[in-house]
Amino acid sequence: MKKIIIILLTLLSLDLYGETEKEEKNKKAFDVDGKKYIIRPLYGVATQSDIGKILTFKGLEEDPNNGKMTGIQLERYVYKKPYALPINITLQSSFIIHFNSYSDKEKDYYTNDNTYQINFGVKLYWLKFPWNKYVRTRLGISEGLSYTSNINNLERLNQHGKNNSNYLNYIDLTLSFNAQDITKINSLENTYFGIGISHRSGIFGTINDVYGGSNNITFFFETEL
Amino acid sequence: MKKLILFLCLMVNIVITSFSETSKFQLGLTPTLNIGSNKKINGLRVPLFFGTTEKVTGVDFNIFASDVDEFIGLQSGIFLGAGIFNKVNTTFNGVGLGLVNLHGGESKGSLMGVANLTNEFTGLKLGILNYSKLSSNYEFGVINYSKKAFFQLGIINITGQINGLQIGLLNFSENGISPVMPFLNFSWKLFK
Repeated sequence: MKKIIIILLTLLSLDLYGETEKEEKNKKAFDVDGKKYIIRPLYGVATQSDIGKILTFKGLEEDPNNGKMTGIQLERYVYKKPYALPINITLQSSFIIHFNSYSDKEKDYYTNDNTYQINFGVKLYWLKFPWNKYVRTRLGISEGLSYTSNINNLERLNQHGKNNSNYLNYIDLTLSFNAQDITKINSLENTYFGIGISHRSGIFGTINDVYGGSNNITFFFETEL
Repeated sequence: MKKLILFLCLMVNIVITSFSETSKFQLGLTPTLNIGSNKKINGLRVPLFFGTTEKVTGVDFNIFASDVDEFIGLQSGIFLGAGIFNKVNTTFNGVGLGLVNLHGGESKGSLMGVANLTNEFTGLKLGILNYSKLSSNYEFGVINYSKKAFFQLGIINITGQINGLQIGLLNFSENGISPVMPFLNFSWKLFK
């Protein structure tokens, strides 16, 4: 894994010495050219691992309650490549359903009801990768606020006997690859396939004294409208 | 009753300041709607949702996202003292605290955030990702990337031209003692 990371970073460094692009005209927020929205249906699997373990592929732990989720995210472009930097900024909103099922002991503590989650935040996409001429890639990270209708089983398990909260901080990490570049189907020009992490946490006790949270690994396609 | 009086005083203040050339206070609601509608603020500005204005001298207390052309002073916000998204279009002088600090033009001072993305930067940057399109002075982060840099401390440091020192796990520099160096890289010109 380390070797792959070093090779990728070496390739990234080779991309440094290109010509400087022309400055873009300064534009107000939401004044963007081309497609304005991203829509992303997603499916996710709950995991007990924290973000660090997931990103380093170390000790990926299954959720013993086998939690699953599905949802849809809608994003509105706020800036596209401002100052010719290789980034896009969007506003993101999400609606997610967690399918809880529990049939063991502690039936009073866990739930079999679905959890409905809404999120709102701002998302930054990094667009510059040395392999973009083969497969356009974008790495996204969002920061925002999340609210759930009830506490899902994964969070009840992770914070067993500790504080929980419907309101938590929300982070959404995504890595997506252009579908046209992969499949060579022209109609998929504005569509990407990807994998991500949907994360809720109390930021080490900052929100309602919650230490910890939950992570779901997500699989999705996203298309621009 | 006290709250009502305070609210009315605030409204009167906003109306008075909206007839002067500069405002002491502005509440930026959307990119096109500001309460305290002057384009120059000398005092406190509270941008809510990509509130946009031309010039701020003083404090920007960011609720969600801010967009300003010229800024002098302190940018902070509601998220652990930092703004979620701070955008400065032409010049910046001061201290910026934001999850994402995005600056075009020329910036001087200090930036602290998860991602500090600038064009031409003089001063100190502290963040996970520090990116400068043209140049930067001092960068402390996990990944530091700048066309020209003076000092970079991080896990991965990348620059086209190092004028001082790079310290990190991997250091990339076109004019370094080697284009890729582990732990340390610098230019021999430093000693000439």
